[in-house]
Amino acid sequence: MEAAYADLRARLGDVGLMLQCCGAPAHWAGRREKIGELAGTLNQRWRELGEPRIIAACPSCVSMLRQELAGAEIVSHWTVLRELGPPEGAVTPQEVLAVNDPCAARDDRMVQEDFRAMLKMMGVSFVEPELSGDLTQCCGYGGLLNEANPELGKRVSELRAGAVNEDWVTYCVMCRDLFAKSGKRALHLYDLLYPRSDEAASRPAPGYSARRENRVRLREGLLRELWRESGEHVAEPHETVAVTFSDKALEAMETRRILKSDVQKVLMQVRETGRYLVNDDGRRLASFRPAVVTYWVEFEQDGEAFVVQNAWSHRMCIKGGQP
Amino acid sequence: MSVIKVPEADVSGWKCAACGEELVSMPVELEYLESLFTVELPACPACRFVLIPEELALGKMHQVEQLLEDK
Repeated sequence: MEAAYADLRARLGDVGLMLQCCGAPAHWAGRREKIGELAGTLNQRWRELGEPRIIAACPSCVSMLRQELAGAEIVSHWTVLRELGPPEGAVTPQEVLAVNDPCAARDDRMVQEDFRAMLKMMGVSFVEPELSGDLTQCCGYGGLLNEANPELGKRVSELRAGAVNEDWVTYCVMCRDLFAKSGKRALHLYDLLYPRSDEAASRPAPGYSARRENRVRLREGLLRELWRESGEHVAEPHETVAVTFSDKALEAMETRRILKSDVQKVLMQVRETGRYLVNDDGRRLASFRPAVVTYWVEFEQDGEAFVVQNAWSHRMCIKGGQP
Repeated sequence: MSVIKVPEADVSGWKCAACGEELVSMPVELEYLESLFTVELPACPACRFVLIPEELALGKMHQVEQLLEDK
C-alpha cells in the first residue's frame, strides 16, 4: 500500500490519502444506517479536500464510492496505471498465471480490461478460468458469505480456488487472501507491481488480528515518516499484556472471529482482579465481556506471561456473577 | 420460570481461584435480545463466577442465540 501510494505521488504529484472503510461490509450486512453515517463522513471529507478525483484499487470500494459520492469522479487504480504504465521495479513471473475477476468487477468491463492490459504491458502470461469476466465466480467473501455462513463460505472458496491449476492473480485483496487460506497459491496485482518478496504467492492469509494490526501500523508509519505528525499509537492497557498462543488457540480464534486484543482484555482482568477458574489438571479459565460478546480464555501462566491454549465466545449475557 | 438443565454444563474439577471454592450447580440467569432464561450452571458458591463450557457456548447456546436473532 505504501509503495503504491509513493508511486502515485511520484508520478502524479499531489495525491492525498484517505484511510477509511467504503462501507461494503455494512452494505452486505443490510446495515443501512451505518452506510448513511459512512457516506456522510466520506462526503464531508471529500468536499473539505476540494472535491478531488478519487483513485481506489479495490473494485468493491470503486463500486461503493460511486454510489455514495454523487458527483465525484471515482477511478480505478488499474485505469490510472494503464495510462501511466507499470512502475519501476515491477516484476514479471516466469510461470503462467490464471486471472481472477472479483465479484465487484463483474459488471465493470473497463476495470476487467484495465487489469488484463496491465498484465500484458508487464509481459505476464495468463489464462482465463472457465468462469471469468461478467460470469466470474465468488471467492467466498462476497456478501459476507464467509462471515454469515463459514461452512458454505469455505466450500465456495475451495471451489473457486481449485478451479485452475495455475497460480491465481487477482485485484481484490479478499479474493487473494481467501485463496491463500484454502491452500492455493495466489497473487494480488500489487505483489507484481510493488514486490516485497519472491514468494508472494505462498504468503499466508494474515487472519483477522494481523490484518487489523497491519492497518494500525500503516497509519502510524505514514503519519510518522511521511507527514511528520505525531501519530504514535498510545497503547491501550490491555495491549501491554504479554501473551503467546498455542496452534490450537490460534486456529480456534481465527475460526471463531476472536481477536488477540479480545484475549488480552480477558487476561488483563485476570491480572487486575485475580478472578479466574482453575481445574484439578492445572488448566485455568477466565471470562470477560468488554462490550456485547463474552470471551472465554483457557490459559497457563508463567509469572507475568500468559500462554493461551483455547478461546471461545458467546453473545448471551450472564446476569450478575462476573464482569 | 422453570430451570433449564443442560448436560454440557456437567463439568467437574473446576474451582474458583479467588475464593478457593469448588464450583456447584446453581440456577443462573442468562439474557439475550430481551429474552431471559434460568439455566442450571456450575458457579462459585461464594462469588457466583459462572462457567460456560466450550461445548455449551458453541452448541446449544449458539443455537438459541441464532434463533433469537432470526425471530
